[in-house]
Amino acid sequence: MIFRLFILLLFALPAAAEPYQAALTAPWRARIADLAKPQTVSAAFTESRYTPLKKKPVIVTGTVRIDRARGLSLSYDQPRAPVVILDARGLLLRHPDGREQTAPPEAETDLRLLHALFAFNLVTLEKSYALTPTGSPNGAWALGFTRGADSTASYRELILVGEATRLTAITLTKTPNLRTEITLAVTQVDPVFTAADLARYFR
Amino acid sequence: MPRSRRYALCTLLAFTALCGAWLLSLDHRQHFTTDVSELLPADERDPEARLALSLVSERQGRVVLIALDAPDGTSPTALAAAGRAHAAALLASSAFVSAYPLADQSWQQALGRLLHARRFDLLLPGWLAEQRQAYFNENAPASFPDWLATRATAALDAHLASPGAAATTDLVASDPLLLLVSLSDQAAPLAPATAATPNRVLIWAETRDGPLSEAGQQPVFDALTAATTAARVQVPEITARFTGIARFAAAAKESTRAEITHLNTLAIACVLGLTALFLRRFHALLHILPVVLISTLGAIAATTAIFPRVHVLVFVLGSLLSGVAVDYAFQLVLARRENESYADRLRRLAIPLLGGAGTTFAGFLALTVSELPLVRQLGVYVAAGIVVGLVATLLYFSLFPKLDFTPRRVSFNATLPARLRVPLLLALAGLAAVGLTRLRWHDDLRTLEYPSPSLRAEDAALRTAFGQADTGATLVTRGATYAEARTRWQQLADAAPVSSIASLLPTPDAYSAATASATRAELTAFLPAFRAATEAAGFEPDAFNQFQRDFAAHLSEPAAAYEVLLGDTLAHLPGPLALLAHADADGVSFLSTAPRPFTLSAAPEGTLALSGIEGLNQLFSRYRAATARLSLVGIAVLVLIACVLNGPRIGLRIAALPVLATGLAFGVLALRGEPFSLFHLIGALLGVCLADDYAHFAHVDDPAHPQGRAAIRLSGLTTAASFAVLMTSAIPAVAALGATVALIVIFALVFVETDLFSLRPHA
Repeated sequence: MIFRLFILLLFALPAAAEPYQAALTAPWRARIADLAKPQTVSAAFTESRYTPLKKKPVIVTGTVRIDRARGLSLSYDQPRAPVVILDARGLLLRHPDGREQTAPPEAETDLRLLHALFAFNLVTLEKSYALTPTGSPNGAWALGFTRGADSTASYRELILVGEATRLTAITLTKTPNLRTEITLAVTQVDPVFTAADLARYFR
Repeated sequence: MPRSRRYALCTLLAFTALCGAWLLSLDHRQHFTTDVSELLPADERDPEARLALSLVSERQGRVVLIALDAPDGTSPTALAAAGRAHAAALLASSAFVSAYPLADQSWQQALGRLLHARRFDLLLPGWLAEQRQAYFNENAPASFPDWLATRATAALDAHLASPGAAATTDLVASDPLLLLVSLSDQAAPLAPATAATPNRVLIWAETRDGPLSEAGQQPVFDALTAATTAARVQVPEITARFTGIARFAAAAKESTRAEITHLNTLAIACVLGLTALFLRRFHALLHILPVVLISTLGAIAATTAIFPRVHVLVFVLGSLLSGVAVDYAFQLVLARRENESYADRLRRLAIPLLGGAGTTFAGFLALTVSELPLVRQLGVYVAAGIVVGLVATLLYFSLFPKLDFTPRRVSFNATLPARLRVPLLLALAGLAAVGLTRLRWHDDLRTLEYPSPSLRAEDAALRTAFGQADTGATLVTRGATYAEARTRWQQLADAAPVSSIASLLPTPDAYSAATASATRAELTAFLPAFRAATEAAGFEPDAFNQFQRDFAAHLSEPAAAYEVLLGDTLAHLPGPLALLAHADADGVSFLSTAPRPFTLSAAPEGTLALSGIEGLNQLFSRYRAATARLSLVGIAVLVLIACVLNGPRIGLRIAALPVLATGLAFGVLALRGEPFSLFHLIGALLGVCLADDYAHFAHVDDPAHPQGRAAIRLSGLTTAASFAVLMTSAIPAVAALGATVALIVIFALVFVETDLFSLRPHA
């Protein structure tokens, strides 16, 4: 779950170096630079989890909030689900009863990649994933990250799909029947978070 | 040589040889200790103190925390390899039994494997008890197996929709009842939350031998040095830090040895220097040495003969016995008069000698009934030293009856006019009373330790890195059996937010219910019902094949006895978790922690809170109060002896001198704002006895023979100097004792010189 969330961070990507030089043409670099601009946003999302245990995916919904100073927060619509907070200090699950959990140490590799995406540190991502960009004349695009042979990352493939400067879908794949697909609704840019929102959804 | 002198010489030689042989026959490692915990009685009745002592001597005391720091830019792979090499080198040595680089997560994985393998034994009973309670609460019409299958499937569906489901997909296939998944919240606080530092490896290790034994110190340090060398093969610039009780114990041992040498040397130098000022025949002082040595030898021999283990602090405190023992020699030799035989001199000085030594002996003898081993040992040490010192003085100087120290003539008369005595006495008593109202007790076990600020700082830094904070609460729950301890722990868990390894273990009731034949029959029926329920809920038909196989196998095997199951499980706990439970011949104990201190309204039976050093300090306060009572008994004996020897009128005046000197010393120290402790009390008792000596001799002081006054003056000044030397000790308790005795002796000397108590016979 932790790792499928990171793509949403693409909303808040700060400027970065220019890796994947061989794969990225100038228009792609410009597009990524646009995506990388820090923003404060809020968006609804739908997550489809495919697991070998079930014949059909498990579908959950929620809202993602990004504050340029505080990080990212995911709140699910299920009443007992924790708020997921990702910021410079790492990952935190805040349960409805007030309990707080941090990520287990074994998630360190994936969290590092997650943080690399949060910071749009493609130099770090480049060490674990090969990039395949594709585009169409109508402005739709996709960035495919395929895990390298010597990478210890959990996910074998990450796919980002968008239109112009907007991200619309993310797919995180561990195995063909263990993957997560996330679709994002229309994004609300620069929303005003109240003090209560900040206290509840960030740290 | 007359026969009497031959007997005296033989007696001294035989005694010295006997004591020397006894001391040479001792195994020093067995008989002497520097362990602070041994200052408390092994059979301490306070359960917390007893537990704290047992924890130090048990596995907790053998833990060594190690941090390897590498320079910036070190490759994580090389750093991890260095950590593994370090741990492997420790394991290869005979000094360590376990060593885990915490980043490897190997012990957490070992715990996960252990719990997974025993999930139906350990976790199913509690889960089943909860489900059965819910079943009864719902009053469901379906049979329990069918109801349980539907409920478990619903819980599984809810879990898969939760944010944490992705991390558990592999586990859920073999654990669809979520026994392990739901455990993560309970188990998480049990693992140390180490601070992530990119250039650091943390290693948790356990030594083979206890930290207070020789085998638990130098061999451990050697193994750590060798392990650092092994780590440097991977990262040459790596540096290692470590902490553990062994390090503190070794440092304390070295420091205390140095302290004993330093204090004794300085005390002897002061005594010799002062003596040189007062005596013309300085070389005659060599005659003092045999008496002091025999007195010290006798004290050590008596103490080690009575106590199987003696704390070296007794010798630090007892080193001032040299200052007391020389008193008798000075009094005896300096009081020599021309044309007076040795026997006549003894008869003349018998009462002050017996009175002075008798009161000191009685005062310290009273301490031997103390509960505290240190106080008991000190009582024996000084009491024996006094007796041996007095007898040795009498015998030794009988060999040299004409020995003359030839004191320098000091013309000094500070005698107060009679009319000023009472007003001055009242003023001094008033000052003492005012000071005593400011008296503040502060008992702290740490005042007995040689301060090691750098070790403390490194220890605190390392413990923080290992996630060991002092902000929470620690509790221990004990029981005669696993069943009793687990039941008692449940009472605690129901009343307080605690984490413990006990939460991973079933209660005896739940285990008994889960292993009953009727329950097993229900669970056998549950398996097909669960398969049907999950298929109906959209799960793949074969999704939980492994669970079905494992559960069926579990149900077909006989259940293990509860005590065997828990004992075997806890014996296999890996890494730091192994310290969270302890079983021995006396029973079983579970350690619990809470993130914040809290107060239980009523402590559940078998559970007590460990308050660390504060708890031991309270215990120390109790010992101080007991010692105060004993000291009062000692002073009462002193007054009694003075009255018996001199009659009530003179006896009370003699006794009043040390009492006022002590009150005034306490008052001055209290007005200075000095917090008082057990060691001020011990010092006061010694000071009272010394001051009483001077009062006795002052009473027989003949103005026609000024050498008597010179004897009091010299013995008082040498004693004050040797105790003032103790004030330079880095050990706060020793410094406190030195300050108390030095002040009392100085006040007593001033009282004698001014004849404030009208003790001096007037010509």
